[in-house]
Order: sequence, then C-alpha cells, then structure tokens
Amino acid sequence: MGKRASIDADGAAAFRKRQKITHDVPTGEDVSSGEQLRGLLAFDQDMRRARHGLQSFKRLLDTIVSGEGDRSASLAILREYLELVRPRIEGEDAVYLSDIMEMWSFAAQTNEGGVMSSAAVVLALVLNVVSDSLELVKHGLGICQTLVQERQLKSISKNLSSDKTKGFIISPTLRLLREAVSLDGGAYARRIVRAKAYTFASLGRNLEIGSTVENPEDSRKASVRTNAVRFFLSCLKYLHSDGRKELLSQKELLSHLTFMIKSDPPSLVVEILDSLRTYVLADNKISRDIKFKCFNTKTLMRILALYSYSNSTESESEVDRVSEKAHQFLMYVCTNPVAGILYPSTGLYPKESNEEFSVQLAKQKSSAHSNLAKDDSYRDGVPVFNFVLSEFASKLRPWSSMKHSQLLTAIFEAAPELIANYFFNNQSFTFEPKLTMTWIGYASFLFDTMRIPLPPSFGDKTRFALNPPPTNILLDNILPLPLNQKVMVRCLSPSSNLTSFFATRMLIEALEKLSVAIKLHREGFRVKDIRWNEAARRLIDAFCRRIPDMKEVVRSYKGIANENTLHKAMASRLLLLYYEMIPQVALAANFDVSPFFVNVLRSLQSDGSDEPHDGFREMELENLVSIASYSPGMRWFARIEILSGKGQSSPFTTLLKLLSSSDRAAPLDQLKKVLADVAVENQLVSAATRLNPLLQAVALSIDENSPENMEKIWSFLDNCISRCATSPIKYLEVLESYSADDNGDVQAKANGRSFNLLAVAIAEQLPYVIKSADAPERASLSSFISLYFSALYKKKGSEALERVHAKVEECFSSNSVKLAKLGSRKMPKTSSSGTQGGEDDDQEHEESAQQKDESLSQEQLEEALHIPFSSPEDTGVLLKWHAKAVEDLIEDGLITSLIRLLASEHTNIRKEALTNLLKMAAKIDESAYEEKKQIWLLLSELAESSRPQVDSGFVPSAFIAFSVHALEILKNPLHPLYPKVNSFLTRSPAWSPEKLPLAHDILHGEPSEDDKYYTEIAWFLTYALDALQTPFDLSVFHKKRWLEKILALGSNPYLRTNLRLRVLRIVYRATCIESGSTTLITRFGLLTWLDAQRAACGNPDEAALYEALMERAWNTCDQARVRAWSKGGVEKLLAKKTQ
Amino acid sequence: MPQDASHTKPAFSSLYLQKLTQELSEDLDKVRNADDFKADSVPFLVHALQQGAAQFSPAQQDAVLKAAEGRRG
Repeated sequence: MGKRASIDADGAAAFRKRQKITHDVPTGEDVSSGEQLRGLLAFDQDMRRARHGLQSFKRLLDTIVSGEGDRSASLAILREYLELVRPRIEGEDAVYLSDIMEMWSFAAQTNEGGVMSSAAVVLALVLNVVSDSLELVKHGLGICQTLVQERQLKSISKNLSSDKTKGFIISPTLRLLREAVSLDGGAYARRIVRAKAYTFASLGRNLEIGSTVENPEDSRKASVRTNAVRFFLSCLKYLHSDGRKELLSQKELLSHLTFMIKSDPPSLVVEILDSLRTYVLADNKISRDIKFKCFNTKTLMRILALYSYSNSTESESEVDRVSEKAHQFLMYVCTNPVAGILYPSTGLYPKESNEEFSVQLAKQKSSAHSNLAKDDSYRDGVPVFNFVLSEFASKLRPWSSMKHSQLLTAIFEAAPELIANYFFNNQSFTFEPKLTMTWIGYASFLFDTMRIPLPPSFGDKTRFALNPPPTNILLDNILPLPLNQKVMVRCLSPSSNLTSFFATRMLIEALEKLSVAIKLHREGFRVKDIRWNEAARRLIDAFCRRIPDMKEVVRSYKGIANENTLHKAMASRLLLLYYEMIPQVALAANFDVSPFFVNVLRSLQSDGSDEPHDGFREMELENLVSIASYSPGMRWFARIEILSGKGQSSPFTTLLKLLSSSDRAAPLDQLKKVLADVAVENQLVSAATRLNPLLQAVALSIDENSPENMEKIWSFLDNCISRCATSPIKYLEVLESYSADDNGDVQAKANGRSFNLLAVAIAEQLPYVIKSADAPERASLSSFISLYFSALYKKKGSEALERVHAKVEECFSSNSVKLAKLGSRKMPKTSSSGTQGGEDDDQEHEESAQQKDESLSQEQLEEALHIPFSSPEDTGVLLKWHAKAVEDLIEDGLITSLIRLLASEHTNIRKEALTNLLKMAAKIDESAYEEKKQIWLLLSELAESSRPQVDSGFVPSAFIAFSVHALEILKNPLHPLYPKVNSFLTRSPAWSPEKLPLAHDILHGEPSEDDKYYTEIAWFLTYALDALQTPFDLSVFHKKRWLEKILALGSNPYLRTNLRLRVLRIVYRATCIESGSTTLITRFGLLTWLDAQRAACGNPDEAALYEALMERAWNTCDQARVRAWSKGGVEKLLAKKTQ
Repeated sequence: MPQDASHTKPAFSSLYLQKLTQELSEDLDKVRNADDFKADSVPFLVHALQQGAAQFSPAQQDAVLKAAEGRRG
C-alpha cells in the first residue's frame, strides 16, 4: 500500500479510469413475480443477459434490505423464487440456486469480472435477507451447503484471488463468506474455515488492501481490508475454541490483521480490539503458547502505536475512543494471566539461568556465602520469566506519555520481577534534574513505580523460601536505579522547589517502603533466621549508600521558603524518617533541630500573622518534635523567648500550651506522645498517668478562666516544670519525705504510680507565686490546682497525695483563698479539647502489658542487643585506594576498610595493610585536603602503634576502633570531641596496646562543652563496643577496669534509653567472648548489677531485658566456678528472679 | 495506577494540588515554557503533582481538611 500513497493526482485518476472500463453499465428490470425472476436468472452464456438477470435480482433484494417500497411484497417474491428453484433431492450434493451458481462458475472460468462480482453480491444479499427470517433460514443453510461444494469453492477462490485492483470482485465475496459464517449462529462456520484452501485464498493479501490516502474510505463503501477483517473476525466469533486455535495457527494471519491497523477507521479498530480480546485472549481453552505466538512484541507495538491514532475525517471523540480502547486492550493483555502473555513469575527472586526456580535453589543452598556471591552476579543483568513483556516495556516511553506510564506501572505490578530488570536494561535515560515536562513525567512514573507494594513473601509462591531475595534486586524495587545518590543530591538542591519537592516525596516513599521490607524480613520464622537478619542489615547498608547524605536533606529543608508549608511538612517528614529508619546516617549529621522547631512554634503562636496557618504547619511541628525526641542535645526545658514581648517560656510548656489550645482543629497525637515521653523520662509525671491529668486540668481551666488569668497559670506551671527538670533530686527528696510516713516501701511504691514530682513542685512553689498574685489570679490558681489534684486523685489516690494537697490547702487558706476538696471536682470523661485520643488508654495498656508474659527469649535478646562483630574483610581495597582522590578516600570510607584489614587473621594481609596505611598517610599529607595533617597523624600513629603487633598476631581492636571512630570526628571540626582527639593525637607518637585510647579523657576529663557530656559518652560507648572483639581486648577492658566504669555509667538513673542500650550491648558483647561472662560476674558483680538495674527501672520491657541478660550471663559463664565463687548465691538470685 | 490512591479523599486531593501549585508556581511557569510542554501534557502534569496526595494517611487528610475549613469559617 505504501506504493500507492506516493501516487500523484494523475495516477489516482488513471486508477479510477481503469475501474470504469471493467464496469459496464449494469441494466436491470423490476421484478413482479418469482416466476419472472426464475426466467431472468436462467443460465445463459451471454454474460450481458446474465448480468441483467443478476442486477434485477439485486434491485429486488435492495428494496428488501433498505425497507423502501413494499418490503413484504418483495419478500414474498423472493420466497416464491426460492421455493421454485429449491432442489428436488435434499442431501449433501443438492445445489441451491443452481442457475446463479452455474453462472458464477462459468464467469469464473471465462474471467468475466462483472458476473463474478454480481453473483457474489446477490448471494451475499440473499444470505443477509434470509438470516432475518426464521422460515427462510433453511434456504440460507442450503446455500451455505452449496457454497462448500467444490465447484463453488473454486469460484470463491477465483474471486478472492482476483487482481488486487479488482476490489469490486473481492469485497462482495468476502461479504458473502462473512454472511455464510454468521448464518444461524455460525452453523457453517466450521466447514467454511475447514475449506480454508479456498475460502482463505489470498486472505493475507486482502487484509492489506486498504483505502488509499487519496481515496479515504467512507463508511458506506468499505475497503477490501475492512471486509476481510470483518470476515476474519466473524470466523473467530463463530468458531469453537478448537477452531479458533486452528485459525490462529495460520501463519502470519494476525500480523496481516494488525499491519495496517493504524490507518483503519475507528469503528473497525474498535471491532478488531474487542473481538481479539473477547474471542482470543479471554478464551481459556486457547493454550498459552498460541496466544503467546500471536501477541509478540511486534503485534503489541502496533497496538501501542494506536495511542497516537489520528484520523482526519473522524470526530475527535471517536479518535480518543480508539486510543482509550487500545490502552484498555494492552492493559488487559499485559496484566491478565489469562491473556497468555503474562507468565507466572517469582517476584523478587530472579529466574535461574538453568531454568530452575531460584526459590528451590535457595532451599538447597544454605550458606550465607553462596548468597553473597549470587548478589554480585545480578549486576550483569536480571533474568526474568516475562521476556516478551521485558522487551515490550523497554519500547515504552513512560516519561512522555501518561498512558505509557500507566501501562508500564501496571505491568510492573503484575510482574514485579520486571522492575529491577527494566531499570537495569534502560540505564541510558537519566534522572538529571531539569525543569521540563519530560523530567516531571519520568519523576511521576518513578513515583508510581515506587508505590507498587512489595509482593507478599517477596513473590515466593511457597511463602517459606529459606533465603531472602538478592539485596540488589530488592533495593532496585525500593529505590529504582535512576535514583542514585548523585542525582538525588542535585534534585534536592534548593535552587528549584519543584525538583527538590519531587525528590523529597520519592525519598519518603523509599524509606517507607524500606521499613515494610525490613518488617517482611522479620516476619514469622525469619525473625530467628540468621540469613534473613544478615540480609536486612545488608539491605539497609546498601540503601544508605544510595540515598543522599542527611546533610543534603537538611540543606534542602533549610532552603525552603517559610510560606511553603506543604513542602516543609514533607521535608521534615523525610528528616524524621531518616531518624527512624537509618539513625546511623541521621545522627552522623549532627542536625540541631531546636532552632527550626522554635521557628515553627513562633509562626504557629503568632496569631496576628498575615497567613493563616494550615494543617501542614502543624504536621511539620509534629515531625520536628519527634526528631527532637531522637536527638540527645535537645533542651526541652531551657527558657527562650519564643514570641517577642510575651516573656520567656520553655519549648516544653509552649508545646503543652499548643496541645491544649481549643481552637486547634485536629488532634496532635504524635506531639502528645512525644511530650508525654519527655515528661516521663524527666520524672515530671509518673509513667502510669503520663500527661493525662495535667492536660485534663489545663483544658478545664481554660474553660473556667479568663485568658489573662490563664497566662498566670501558664507561667506558674512553666516555672514548676523547669524547676522539676533542672533539679529533680531536690524534689525527689521532698517526695520521699511525703511518702516516708506511709506504711512500708511497697505502699509508697504503689502510690508513686500516680503521685509525681510536678505535684510536689507545685506545692513547693505555691507560697512564692501567691505573694505576687492578685485576688482573681489567686482564684484561678486555686481552681487549676484543685483540678489537677482531683485529676491525679481520680487516677489513683494515695495518702502522700493527700498530704501534699493538705499543704497546698494550708498555703491557700493562709492567703484566704479557698481550695476545693481533693476529689470533689468533677472530671468529665471527655473534656472539651486535647485530652481525648490515643493517649488516654495508656494506663490500661500498661497494666495489661504487665500482666502479659514479660520474659524475653534469648533470641529476642540477641535481636535487641547483639551487634555483629565487624564486617567481613574487603581485601580489594588494598588495590582500589590508589586510584582514588584523597577526598573520595576519606568520604567513601576506603580508609576505614583499610584500617579494618589490620585485624585480618592472615599475617600477609595485615602487613600489606600496614604498608598501605603508611603510603596512604603520605599521599594524604601531600594533598590539599583541609584536615590532612590530623588524618596523616592519626594514620601514622596507628601504623606506628600497630607495627610491633602486626607480625606477632592481631592488632588490638581498640586501635582499629579508635582510628575508625576518630576519623569521623576529624572530618567534622564542629564535633564536640574534636579538641580532645586532636590533643590526644599530639600527645604521643604511639599508643600502648594495654590502654583504650582517649577513654580516660572522656570518662574522667571534663566535657569540652557543658551540654555535650552525653554526646561524648554516646561516641565513647560506640567506640568501646567496637573495641571489644577478642579475649585480648577483654583483658584490656578488665585490667584497666573499663568494664567497671562502663557499668557505673549504666547506673546513672538519668541516662537516656539509647545510651543505656549501648551499655547493655557492650555487656552482651562481652558475654560473647570466651570467659567474658565469668569475668563480668566474678570481677564486676554483673548479676547483682543487672538485678539492681532491673529493680530500679520502671519500664517492664526494660526489666525483661535485664532478666534475659542475667540468664544469658549465667548460661555462658563457667557455672561451676561461679557457683563456688558465690557459694550458691548466684543461683538463689536467679531463682528469686523467676518467682 | 498502582494503589490508585484509593484512600485519598477527592477534597484533600484538590486541596493538595492547589497548595502545591501555589508553592511551586515559579518552577511550573518554567515547565510550561519548556520545549517539550504540549497541550496534552496538562493532564500528565496534574497527575504528577497530585499523586503525592496518597502519601497522607486518612487521619492526616482529615486534619488538613479540618484546618482548611476552620480557616474559611
């Protein structure tokens, strides 16, 4: 057809002329009876007369079909004629309409085009007319039977194979066949298809004789192709599954069908797509391989081309309908397993190249080693089951078309194995940020891909695969390959809000998906499986390497304009996710959240500001508060001026105020939880009641008191809270004096659950504030305090509480103010604001939790405390580092890997590492790196100190751990330990193997800055854990009494949970080392220490941890020796614990 | 579309889009002037902007909608 498209105007005219020559002007006459018709159609060798007869018959049939004139009379003539020419003998050989058949055959033999055409036209019309009439259908069936006789088949074949310019012969023949196939529900369909040697003659060619560009097809005159397509589709429709299979196996038929689909009229395209879907794809009985052969990439691409279908003569809605239909069709083909293109696959477990399921293979291979090796191998490509879809996917352009993007993500969802495969195969399209529609389109596609949930059990059908899926593939599903660190950093650049917003959104998605993946790693049996635990760790490590550093995210957050609240809310959520999911990355950035968080507070508090605050600002605040609860340096109780002119207030009280302000629309559950945690941690309130009584009292006071008086209450409360937080010991002593009169300790303890330091502080501060208050303020204070005590009393009354209340009452009465009796104030179940919500049920939760089985299994203990001994050696670094620039050496952690090689068990590797360290030190010293001197000094000292040890055996882990952790400090001059590390390095050229470098300066020296004590401790504990690896290390810890000091550190009641956990990790690590537990028990009284900690801590979860650790220590020690040492005391202690 | 944002409320979705368009207006102007921006890019752009609405939990959506109502009232 392509040829014809280039024909010029003359050519087209010539074509029309030729057609005219073959068309003699057909003559015909009106028919008034069946007998007359029989006469007209009697066989005659004179072709002009034959045509005259056929034309007359056609006129009659046309009046019936069109319904013009007297339709019933015409129908009666037809009926009469059919009865007249009905064959006398019924049977297979009977010939219906024998005159016409004979004429046709004769014409075919003599190549008389006019009659060949007219005969087919007339027969097609007859079949069309009789199909509507129940009594005439039998004639139609007779005609069909006649058609499949050999003579007629030859005529058909002759007609169909006419020269392709003779559409006037081919088209009616195809119409005739179509009528024959469809007659009476497809009664003859099968036999007509059986005779495909004749009936399908030249079908492939005929399917490609379409209308030309110059001669666009009008709907009245269908092209040969249209007729051929309709015939073929009718065959599909009326055949049974077996027949369809046979038809589809015809070579290339489907290819001919779709070859020109793009230039078909809309109605035909829709017909083709509908028929293929209904009669082929949805037919369960057609086997997969046949469908698979028919719908290869070529066919799919042709249908894809319909997305950009255009047709100048049709209305826009029709054109849109085609592209929509094509989209639905491809969505069906590519995502529905019945359609035969989508193969069942194993999700994130890649197809094994030897055709075996990797899941099965994974069952056989048990060592973690083989898994590691496998992981690497998928860097050369990801084998998949759905190779056709993989090829098709690579042809899509998801960045420029929404439909392509939708289709591709739908394919990914149906066959998750293709996600990693797609991005691996299509790496050329980068995600470099540009403000273009293409970039946005790609970002949108990537986002939708990331939102595809991970398949259950990572796609393993058995759900019990022993090995996890390869880390790389899983990672590509969480964070598609185009989103690499470099590109993401550029996207986050504050120069464009749009790219940074999109990047933020994607990173949030990735981190949330990572959390789901990690949860899946710990589901069911996997929680105890070392391979799954290892894999989870590997996944997090690999993830951290691919995402931007925390400082980039912080920079991006800082760069957002204040009024862009949605963007800020998302960015702060990303920061929070860093803290929650990958704290190792988040904490390394030393992000001080407090200034930002004060800013948001300010903007929320300033009622007069122009822009009204929306829910996003509050979301941001909640995120920042949660971040603050993770950062050890947060000063909750330091008073700062949040709003100028409104006096100072601590962030804690300001948040409390916000929490209880009644004009807030939505509950801030997250904020409430964090505040309550902070309050409990600082012992302001008890763990049993949390903030609930206080919030309840505040909410009721707001209703009762004027805003001015409320200010007084707030400042009083702020004062009490700050005092409690800054000098808790003072109030603890007062608290004890209140409780001392109680009968016995047990009672006091039970009472303590509702009674708290804040109440004590209120009682103590009241006399001072009352002096400066006027009468209405005093009344407000009295009302608030009585509300607060009533709320406490309602939770759990105690004698101590009554005593405090009495004191308060005394103070008020001495100033002639009345205080309501304890418990006399009514506390509505739900108050007007703030206090309802998730937190209220805390008490019940905690109590029920206590009743539950609290003991912790050893596996859970291991999960909570065990940090694996340092990662496997990477000897490749010995060669790799030479090629790197100094900045990369320092930033990429190559130095760290090299330092760790000093601990290798092979002497030659240790020696190599030592030499390389010296070379590296020299290289750094020569470079222009800013901190080069310090790093050079550190490396040189490490080398000098290790040199004597390298030959004889292991280098002390303390050296390695110190160097690795000190390196992090040297990179960051703002680190509080920076001065200490530097002065340590300049102090002596070599370190003693019997000592822990720098430990003395941290534990015994003053903190470099007042409020950085805990930051220094946190660093030290991480370093100490790393320094404890071998029995030799243990002996250093033992001889220099570091273990004792660490345990003493752990006894500090104000130590935050995460620091306490680090202490316990060191203890756990020691129990893993040979004779570690025995040393700890006999030399440092570990068991009694643990028991004391258990008794002192209020949290049942933590207590369970101590108990489990006691059990672990006992199980791993030399029990005979410990028994003898303690004279049986240890067993008694353990027995007491289990009671 | 995967997880077709089925739990996203239409009201929130449109509010999100409105807010985002406002915050990114400067950059969106640049995109509109880019060579590859055509008339039929608009639905794609809207989809790209709006798809992030699904990242908010129903509770968060309610909170924002409530705050928006409060502002109007």
